Amino acid sequence: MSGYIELHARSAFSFLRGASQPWELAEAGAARGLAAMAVCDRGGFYGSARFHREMKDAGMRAIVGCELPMEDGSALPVLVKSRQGYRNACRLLTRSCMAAAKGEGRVAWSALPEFSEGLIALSGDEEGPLARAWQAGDRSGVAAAAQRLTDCFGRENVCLEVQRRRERGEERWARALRDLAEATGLPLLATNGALYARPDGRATLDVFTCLREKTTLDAAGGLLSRNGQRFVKGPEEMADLFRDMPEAVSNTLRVAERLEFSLENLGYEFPSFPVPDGHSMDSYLREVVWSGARRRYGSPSAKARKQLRHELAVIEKLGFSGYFLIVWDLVKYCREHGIMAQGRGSSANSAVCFCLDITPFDPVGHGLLFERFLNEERAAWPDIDIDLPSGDRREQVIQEVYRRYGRSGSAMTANVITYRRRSAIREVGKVLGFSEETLSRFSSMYGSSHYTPEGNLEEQLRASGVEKGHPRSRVLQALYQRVIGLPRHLGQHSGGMVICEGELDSVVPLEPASMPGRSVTQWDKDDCEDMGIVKVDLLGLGMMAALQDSMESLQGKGVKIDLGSIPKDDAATYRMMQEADTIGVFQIESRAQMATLPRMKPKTFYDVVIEVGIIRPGPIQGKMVHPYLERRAGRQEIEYIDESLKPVLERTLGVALFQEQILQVAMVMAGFSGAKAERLRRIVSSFGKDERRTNRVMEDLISSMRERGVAPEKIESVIQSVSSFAHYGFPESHSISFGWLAYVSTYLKANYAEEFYAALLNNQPMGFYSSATLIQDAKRHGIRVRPVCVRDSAWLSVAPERGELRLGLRMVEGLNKERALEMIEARERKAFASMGDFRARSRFAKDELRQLASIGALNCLAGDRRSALWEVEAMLEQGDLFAGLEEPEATLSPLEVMTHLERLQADYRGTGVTVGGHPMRSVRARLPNVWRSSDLANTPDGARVKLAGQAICRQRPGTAKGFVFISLEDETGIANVVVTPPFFERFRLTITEERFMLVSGRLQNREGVIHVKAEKIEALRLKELPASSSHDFH
Amino acid sequence: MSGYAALHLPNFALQAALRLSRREASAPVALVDGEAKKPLVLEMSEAASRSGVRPGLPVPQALARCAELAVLHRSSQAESLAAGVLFEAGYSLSPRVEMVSGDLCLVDLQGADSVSVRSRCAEILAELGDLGLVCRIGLADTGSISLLAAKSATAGGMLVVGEMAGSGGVELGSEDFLAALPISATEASEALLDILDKWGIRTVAAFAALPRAAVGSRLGCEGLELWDRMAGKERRLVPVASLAEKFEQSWDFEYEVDSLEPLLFLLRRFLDQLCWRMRRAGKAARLMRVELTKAYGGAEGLEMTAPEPTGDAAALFLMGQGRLGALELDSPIRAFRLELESVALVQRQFGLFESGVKDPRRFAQTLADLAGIVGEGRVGRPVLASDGRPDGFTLERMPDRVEPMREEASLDFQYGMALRRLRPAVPAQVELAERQLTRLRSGLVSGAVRACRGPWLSSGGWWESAGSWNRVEWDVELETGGVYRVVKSEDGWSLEGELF
Repeated sequence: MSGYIELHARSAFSFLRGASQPWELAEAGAARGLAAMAVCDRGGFYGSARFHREMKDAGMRAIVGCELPMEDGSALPVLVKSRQGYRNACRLLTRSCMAAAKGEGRVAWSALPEFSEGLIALSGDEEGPLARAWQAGDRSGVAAAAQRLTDCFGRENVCLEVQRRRERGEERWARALRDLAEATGLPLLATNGALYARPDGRATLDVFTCLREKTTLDAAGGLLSRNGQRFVKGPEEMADLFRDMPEAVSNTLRVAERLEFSLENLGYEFPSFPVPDGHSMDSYLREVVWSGARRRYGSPSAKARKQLRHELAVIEKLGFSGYFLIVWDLVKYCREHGIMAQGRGSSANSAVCFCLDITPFDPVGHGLLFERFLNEERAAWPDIDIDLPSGDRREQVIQEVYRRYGRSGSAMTANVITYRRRSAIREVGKVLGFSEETLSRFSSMYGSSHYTPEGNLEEQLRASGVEKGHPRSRVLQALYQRVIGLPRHLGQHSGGMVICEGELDSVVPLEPASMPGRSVTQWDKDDCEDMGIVKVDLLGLGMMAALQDSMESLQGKGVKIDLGSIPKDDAATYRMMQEADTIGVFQIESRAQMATLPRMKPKTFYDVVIEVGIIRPGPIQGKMVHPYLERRAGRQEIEYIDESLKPVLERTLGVALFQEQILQVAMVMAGFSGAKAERLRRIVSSFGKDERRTNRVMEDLISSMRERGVAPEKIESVIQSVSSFAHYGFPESHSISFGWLAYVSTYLKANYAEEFYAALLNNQPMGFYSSATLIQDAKRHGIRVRPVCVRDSAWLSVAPERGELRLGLRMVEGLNKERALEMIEARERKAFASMGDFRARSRFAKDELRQLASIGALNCLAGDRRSALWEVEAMLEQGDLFAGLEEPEATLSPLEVMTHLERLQADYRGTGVTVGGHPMRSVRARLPNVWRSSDLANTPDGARVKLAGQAICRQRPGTAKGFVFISLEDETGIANVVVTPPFFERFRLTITEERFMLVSGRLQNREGVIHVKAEKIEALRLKELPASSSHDFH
Repeated sequence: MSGYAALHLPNFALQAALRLSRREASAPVALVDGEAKKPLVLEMSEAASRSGVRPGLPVPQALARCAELAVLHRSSQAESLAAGVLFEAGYSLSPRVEMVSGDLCLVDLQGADSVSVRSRCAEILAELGDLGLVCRIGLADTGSISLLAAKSATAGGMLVVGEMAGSGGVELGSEDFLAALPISATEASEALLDILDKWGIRTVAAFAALPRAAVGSRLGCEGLELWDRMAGKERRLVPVASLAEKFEQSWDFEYEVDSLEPLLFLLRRFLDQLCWRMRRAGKAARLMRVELTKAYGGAEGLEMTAPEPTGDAAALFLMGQGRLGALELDSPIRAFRLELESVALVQRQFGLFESGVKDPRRFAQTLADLAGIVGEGRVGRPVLASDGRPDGFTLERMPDRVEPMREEASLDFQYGMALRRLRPAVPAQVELAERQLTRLRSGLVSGAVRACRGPWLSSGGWWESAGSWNRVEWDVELETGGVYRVVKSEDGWSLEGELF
């Protein structure tokens, strides 16, 4: 056994107080011959789960500890001896966090005795309670602090921590501690207070210190490290440092022996479900499932019955009945409260989930694979994600979970926000003293994390204004590389919730979230999964909210419609898809989807499922997109890697498109069991984190196929498919769930367009396109879009009658909702007779009135916008003593009426949209020889064209090899522009910065797919043209 | 005569920055606020404007429109200097001068002769041009109109409006002037301009055409005031101003300067401006003082006495150029200060409880003499460096007055042996065995080591290629007696001092 154990290290999960990832610390510990190590992150166990996993993989022991932030500003390290100690630490941290604002929780000294059992306290480093007294010159305070620790924890559970970092002056403190140890009988304990894995981590730590203290390196002075000695040290180095105090080193082994606790035995229990008398959870689940099966299937087929029996047996064997009942109950709650809910992801492979109403589609009928969701070999908890309408409805469900399990029994999972390109350069650059302007320029040009910009970092910095020979350029680059990927702070996952039997805060510390009414664990969802903590994802989809709003509105008008009653064979819906008329529709509105739809020509629901699944990196990387479409169009023969794969691949014309198919390919070709095939998929899809494991399973696959006599070229094809799809391919079940939403949304657009558009506008932001584009699309579909009006508008946009859409007051920038609702109420009591009447009976502030006037919302009372603006200025402020008095005779407006362009500008400023013509219409006369987007369909393939419009969407997909796709909108529609990588670099700033562009290039017009391959891109400099927001990659 | 003159520096911030940047005004240049989170173009040169660069553009978009665009940062220092010049120019017309803003000054011409005013205005335009500033002047009967006229005049030109029309400058009747003037040129607040913009009121004439009562009831006092000003109904009072007494200018460099050229550039610019001021005040320079603040601490001061008092900037520049060129500096420069003295003595009143220097000039002279003996950069007040570097300090300029101590120095943390530091440290060689020092050899002491403590490691400045440091310290007791501090640094081993 190693002669030393590091019992006080901090990882980067101490957020600006540690500079290395847990895996780096583990790696350094292993390299230096440590058998065990304790990571004590500040304020909690943030990095403990990851550290535990890394140490386990390295064959070392992870000792659990943390630093308690005390009320007096000191930091007290504690090590966990037992499960009770861990529970105590978790609850103590939770209590202190929940009693304060986020990030400000402190532990009271008076609270310690209640929670001290099972913990060993160290006296700490320079921030510990004893050292702080020493630094303040309070010699008696040092002894008193030590006494306080023994009073709280007991003499046998306190150690005096000595650190030697070769700093002049530290010996006095070391001698004082030695004297104190002799006087009190407390043991000395040598630690190095490691804050980084290797010596070069000192620089990162200094940067973090500056960020924490909001200063620069030049100004930080004594705040910075005096040397770089706080790295992970091995037994030999520590023995040398403490050769005059060998007992301090050997005590680390003695203490470590007493620390029996490990995160392997957290004590987590999934909640049990309260079942009726006479039932167990297993029997109750069976009853509910069979009841559901009768409802879903009518008379279940033999195949369905067999599948259900098999699934129930697996679920019972693994002890997961309670989980399924809990999720079923939650979904039932949603239905009972009129909240749309739909399971997504791999759960749609389960017939049990189908019968429990969790998922909408019959997996037996679709030939889906249960093992993709759950199998006996993988004993981890199942993962069921529920899609809910975003907004208040989803929040209602979340709060219901809190209500059922209590604030300390449930919480959201965390989301670790790490340093990315933009934040790394900004913060490191600031600390190094670079100007705000330089850093902003870099952020603007290269800061996006959605694509990899051209050039290396040095070139990018040069383009941002950092000259090649700049004295700090090199160190900026080096620090940037070190900081990228390090944790920056803890956020909250959008939908993951964990629940626990009993107290969750005894399993993991909880903290308040930024959103009121919510609490968050200190671990993210991967950590929770590793620790065996069960999670349910309650995800908000804007489209579900829009669908629910549309249907409720239609139901209110007497239309019988719900998710279950929508026919799957509506001709108008498929026609819309075939024409790629899918702006606003779920999943198939992107440029790539719209380019595929006319070729795919969906005719059945399964075609939609394929359409959703086909535009993914997996099929694209596996070179499977074109072959599928070619075969569908009859231009290529349908063939199979092997005839035995026909049942698996027939439905996709011999081309593997879905993850389930890959599993089935492995099962058929290599004889893998379902569980083994699913393991193969999981390992390969772990994004190359562990190459050794990936190579092992692939070798297993190859050798299995060889043993079965599969020909080498077929083995090659199978390997290629598995590699690509395992990484990115969609589960078929997921495609079915999303395909259904895509179908339903298109159905609504095709049959109830005005309701659909109203719902989309009311649930912004969502989807691909801005409200402005949606409105233009609505108008092109013949819908009369009425502007905001104080006489006729509700708060939300509505469809008052067929073919009409009235914009709601919520679209007005800066309009207070409460005052708007009051106005509506007043209007409903009695219509407004005049501007004066309106003013008297509404409570809007002057600037709100101006806004309403300038967008024409007061035209019904004043005649035109300028007259309204004229009158509005004469109106007194609310609360003015004279506000209620009769006005003297009003002056007629001497102002000229607004021009079309002025109205456009006012509309965009006030609402972000216009119901008038597109801005491009007003400048069309100045653009001779420029095509409109609607002209392109009638222009021959290969023709040279010139286009102009507003860039409403700019994409640079990771799989597109640097190609950029721009959607240009004009008054007649949207044109698609393709920019090759060399052209993108040439015109990059114009493409990324200009709102209106003029594009020259060659037209491609084939099989209904139209786009322009750009050869020249210029800014369309018409300063008066207003623009809406755009959806961009950068 | 009665009337007003307004002097305006268009694109003020850009002109101010350009003037001290060595860039040509004819080049495409844009000015941004370097401190802003997302810097936008504030002003741009004509060449930049022709390429499509506009105020409000983000820098990347401006670069997209003009690849050769140079981007300057806004400088409050430069603007302050330029505003000072403008004020002096206005003062030369009449002591009733008001700086309306940094780029605009208003002069009440009551009592002045109209012909001499116009000729003086023409001289001002030329003189400011020599100082690198393009000015425009407006002359009118009312303050408000003169301000508007100044903003409407051509760059480097003069616009005379209303009854002041006679000879010289561009002349315009009041009505014609107002009809073409955009409303945004007035001093109205943004809120008021926003309302007028919403009304479609784009010119002063259109605004003046609105009924006064309606303007008052809708736009309140501000609107009425503006209306009255545009209608020429206000009478503005401009109090008498006073000129600054000292002739000094200073500049903090954005980046450290390690060559002579930028210093000479600034010296010339400052001399031009200060000498111009002196000439206006009827004074001459007797003594020129230059102070260079060093990046790594300390300052370098130069004093030069003119053979005879002079207001000739070129002559003073030659004198300064020679001295600066002969300087050898061990550190880049981060700040520059120039003072011209035209008075021989500085009188100072002593407070009862403070100590101070009786004659700062002579004190400064004494310091300069000392520097001549011990060397430049070796005279000043030492201040400990904050980075923990042992014996790290910087030299500050000696103050004219020493403040009394507010509290006694604490002796609590004086422990260990006292160190008599050797400056400079004495080079040494050492022998080591099992990571301990065993023998020391140096020009001061040598011998076998009886006992040693250490090593103590310290380092800093790792982010600087030139300024990083790294030390390993040992305290050794020699067999021959004595305890010494031995250090290993980038320069090798050295004996740093003796411990008592």
